[in-house]
Amino acid sequence: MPYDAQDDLSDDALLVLYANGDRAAARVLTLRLTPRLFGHALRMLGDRAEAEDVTQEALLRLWKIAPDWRQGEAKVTTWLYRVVANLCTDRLRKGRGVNLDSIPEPEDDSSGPAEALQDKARVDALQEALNGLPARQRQAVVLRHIEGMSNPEIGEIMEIGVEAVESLTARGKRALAKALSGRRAELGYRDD
Amino acid sequence: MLDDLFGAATTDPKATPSPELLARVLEDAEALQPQPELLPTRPRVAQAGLWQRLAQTLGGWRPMAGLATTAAVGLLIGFTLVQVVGAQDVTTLVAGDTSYYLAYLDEAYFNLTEGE
Repeated sequence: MPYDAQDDLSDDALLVLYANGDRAAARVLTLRLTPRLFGHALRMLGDRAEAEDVTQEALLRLWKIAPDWRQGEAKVTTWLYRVVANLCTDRLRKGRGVNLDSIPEPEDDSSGPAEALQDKARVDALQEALNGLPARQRQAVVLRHIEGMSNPEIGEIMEIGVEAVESLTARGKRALAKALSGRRAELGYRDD
Repeated sequence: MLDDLFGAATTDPKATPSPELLARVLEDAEALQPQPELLPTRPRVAQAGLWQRLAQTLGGWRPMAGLATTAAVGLLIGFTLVQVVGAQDVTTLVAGDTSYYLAYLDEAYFNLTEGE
């Protein structure tokens, strides 16, 4: 099958192709899933190297389970987000992660240097505040407000009900607002 | 403010994986990928069965037929002798001081001894 013909296939279908030895499917899955998992792991851990390790480990588990994958039982992304969450929780328990200094400077050509600097300061401030949240709250807030998932999707990933997701995100947002309230001026926001 | 910060985080270039990470993940994927089963390019030759291999070892079906005939004749002789020898008492047959004469087996031998 041509490489670009697989772009429209579901993750499930691609995983079946992968398990049948289709090398193009391996490539499409890698390019599709790695950015999502890495972004999530980075926001959960706040450490680039740790996030890379977690992403690679989660996908390694997917490649291993591919021949036994049962289509229709669970979404590939749901399963992967659970794996990433568990790996992040393990690392946070061991006291690793949260090292903002390990994140290299962004190379953003889309905005001017001043704007880029302000964006970096804002993202760093948000990450610091996220790092202060309990892991479950942090996961719910990241999935809902940064990765744009729906509450039922988040509930499936976190294996909780929709109401519990709403409660976690609401508490998380309140805690973030409180943590960042003293930094409004520093981050370029006015008090009006 | 919070929504604006979330928006900045969504488009954050730092959250993009490095080419090295993508290469490592792809390397894992290819290393762990099951290989498709290759179809045979030639028709598979049926393996000889046990009897066929035994016949080949002994030189073919003709020697096997000869062996079978010999075995059948041997069995026939065995049964015939049982009728002659079996008439004797078993204890007598195995006792140490018992003598056997060919005359027990065939009357022709009896006639030979009588003629002497």
